[in-house]
Amino acid sequence: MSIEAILIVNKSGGLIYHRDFNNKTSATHLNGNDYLILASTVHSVFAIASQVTPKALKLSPPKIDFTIPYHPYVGVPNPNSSNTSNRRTVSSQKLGSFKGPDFFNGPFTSWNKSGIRQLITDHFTMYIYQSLTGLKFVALGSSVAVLGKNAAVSNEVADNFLRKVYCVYSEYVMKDPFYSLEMPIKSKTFDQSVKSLVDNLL
Amino acid sequence: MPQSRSSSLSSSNPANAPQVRHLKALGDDTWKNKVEKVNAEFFHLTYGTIVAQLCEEYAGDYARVNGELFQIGYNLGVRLIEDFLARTALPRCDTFLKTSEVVSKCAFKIFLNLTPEVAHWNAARDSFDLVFGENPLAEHVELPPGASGQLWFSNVLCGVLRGALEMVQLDCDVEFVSDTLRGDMSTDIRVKLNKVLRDEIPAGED
Repeated sequence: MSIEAILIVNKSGGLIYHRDFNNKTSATHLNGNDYLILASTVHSVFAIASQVTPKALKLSPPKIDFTIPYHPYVGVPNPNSSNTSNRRTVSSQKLGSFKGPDFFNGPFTSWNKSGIRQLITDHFTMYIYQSLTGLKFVALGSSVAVLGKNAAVSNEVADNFLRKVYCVYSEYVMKDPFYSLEMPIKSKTFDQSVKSLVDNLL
Repeated sequence: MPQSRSSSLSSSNPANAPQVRHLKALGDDTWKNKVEKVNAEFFHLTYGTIVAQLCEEYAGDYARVNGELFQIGYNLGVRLIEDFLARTALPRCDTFLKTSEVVSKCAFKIFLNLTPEVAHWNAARDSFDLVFGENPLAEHVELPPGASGQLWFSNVLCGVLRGALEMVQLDCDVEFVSDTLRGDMSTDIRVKLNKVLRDEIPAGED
């Protein structure tokens, strides 16, 4: 499995959702409290990183294109694929109020322009996607460049994937009348949808 | 009330035209291909039920009904903005003009399949009106005699706008200024920008 954990951090730096997809029961497993600390650390380091910029970029700001290309069917079943045996049947999989086989179908602009977007280590890669409202979606992948051939492509795929997690969040968390904003997410439908996104990743 | 009433800026400013066309295309496409539909009648009737119930419970205290509808709208708006952003992934609006176009061409199109006209910019360019031909939520409505002149039937929309804009760090006052239900020529919502909450813009955006 390529995604090991997903975390959602609210705009004040609190962890509101985390889920492990790694079934191995290892001794190095983090407990709930560790995840809370990890989340707020990510939040702070993200803020610090956005404050430090290479001087060259400050003196002559380059025109950077923050457009992220659309990678088709990341995390959702491909309706054109002949290999449907190991996937859920397409017709039974609904995307809530999102119509069509995929949540979106075009390139989009990244909102995260000067914060941390990717963190590569020897054992895992972390991807961060931030929404315009300050919500952070964090994915931990099990190996370097797990989602693509190289780090850049892998980051694009991760942004595509995390935007889908954002779509699912807007669908099943925001439309839950019993959910209070900024509080931990305890929604079963959301949990299932995130799981199926992760399971559908190759 | 002295107010410079210029015509819609979007159509009179040619430099802005391609961008506006792009937003219109995006709104139309998202509504057509990426949003599941329900019967609008169902939505109108549900909203009508809520308003009617509120009017009954507050025994005709329409100021309170307006306030309650606004509060309901606000609570909707702070959540609905996430849905809107997840769907469209539009970049942050650099001008309030752009905000007005996004609201009318994308947001109203996607959620209500309406495209209100943006008009009546003030001289400072921080206030505009959204002009609807008819009251958007009141297809089958006639106000009771006591309510006309007091109740803003679709006040929930003001709350939604205020809540949603606040979540993208735009502090706005939103209110109805006219309503076809009250016998006016059109239904107008005025959006006035108080302040851009710069301190609250999340880190990493520049």
